[in-house]
Amino acid sequence: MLNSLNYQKKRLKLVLNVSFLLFALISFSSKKDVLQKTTLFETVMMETFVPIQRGISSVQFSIKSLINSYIANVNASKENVGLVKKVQELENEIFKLSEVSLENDRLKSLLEFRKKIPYETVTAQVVARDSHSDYKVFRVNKGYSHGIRLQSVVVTGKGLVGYVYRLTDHFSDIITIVDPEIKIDGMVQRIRSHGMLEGNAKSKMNMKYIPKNDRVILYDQIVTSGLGNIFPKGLLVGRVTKIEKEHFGITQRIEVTPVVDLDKLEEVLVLVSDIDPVKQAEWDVLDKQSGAEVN
Amino acid sequence: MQTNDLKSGLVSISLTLIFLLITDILFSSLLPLIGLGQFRFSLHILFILYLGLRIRTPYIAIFIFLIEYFHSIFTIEGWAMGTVTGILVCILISFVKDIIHLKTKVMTFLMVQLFQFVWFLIMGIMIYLKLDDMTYVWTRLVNFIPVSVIVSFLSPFVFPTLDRIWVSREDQILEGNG
Repeated sequence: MLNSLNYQKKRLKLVLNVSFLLFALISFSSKKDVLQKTTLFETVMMETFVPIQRGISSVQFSIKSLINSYIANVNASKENVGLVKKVQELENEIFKLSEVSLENDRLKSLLEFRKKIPYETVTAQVVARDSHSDYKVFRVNKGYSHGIRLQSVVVTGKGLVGYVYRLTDHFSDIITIVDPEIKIDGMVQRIRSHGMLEGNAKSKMNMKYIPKNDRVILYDQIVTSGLGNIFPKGLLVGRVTKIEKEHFGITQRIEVTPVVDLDKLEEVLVLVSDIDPVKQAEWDVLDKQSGAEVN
Repeated sequence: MQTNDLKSGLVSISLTLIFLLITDILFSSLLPLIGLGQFRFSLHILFILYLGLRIRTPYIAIFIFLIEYFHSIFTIEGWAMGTVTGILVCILISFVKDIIHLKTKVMTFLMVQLFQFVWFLIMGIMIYLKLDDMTYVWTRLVNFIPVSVIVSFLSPFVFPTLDRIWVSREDQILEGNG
């Protein structure tokens, strides 16, 4: 009786393991790009937990200030406690003011950039990053209700950042240009040579398929070519920081460093201009096709 | 009884998921703030290894899927790769489970470290098959080594917490004896 029960449990375990393995493998292999439509459950979860992440982010300066205060006070003598405290308060005030001033500068440059580009934009604040440092992804505090859509392009005053790959009503996840999953058709601005930009997981990008005879030089600016239907033409991506030409082959290896410091982003602009009707029609057809395949 | 088994397992997995959500929220928001942005990590691997090493249940595949699905809210990686890797690692563990013990902190550390390498090996193969690019796998390995050591160091402290969640119901869960 006991053996029979154990046999049944083992058989159940085998069936569950194989079923979930197959289910996950099919899902893994059928994932063609990084775009993810959120399910109702995911939307509820994200909408619930992201405010907590944002709350934690908002205490950033408090924590920094606390740590700085602690370190500064370790060696202070008792007689100077009052004085040190007063100085600290003033320092904190200056720190806060300087942070406000820096934030103002950043927002001002974003505003100036915003006037230059022919798109409607939404300013968003970075509230969290991907839980794995292997992925160059972050989360901002604006979403569908602010006009952001899947594949909305994200920029700063300096240049291109990435695009929206997942969103809810109030939050969006941005995949950055240095993520290995992203591929951009780029162009060397000076000589108009086209190539494919791919993230290399070292916070830089590799530019492929540039013919060896094209005279690319260090610090050449790389911009988006406008091909690929996601990124508008002419957005600054980065600068050439390494060129390798080998004796064999017909192309050269080019390393591009993004102009935007993606590890220190705090505010970004999301381009939210009305979607191109042709592009929308393409999306609709693709949606219909994928729906038919599922059915 | 299978129903009781699954029911008690669901209570435990719910508590584990809450634990996972708390750690994921903290690690994805707090670590970058204190200058550890380069070493962001999650404890989802640790939770799955705990299930593999400590719990005997036929429903382990469901639990792994749930952990990975909740974790996917905080990462672009999604749930599929982690689910495949987690199930394969737990199958491997089930073959050697009876000859290893986790009675000391050192042993727990070593076992978690060992199976994290197995985890990375399987995941590396999957990434290579998908991207056809070993460079990315090597880059991830460089990041994986320090992160895995931190996770292993945490294991002797996290496992007792998970014991409280799971082992109090172990009598029922062990009935699965898978």
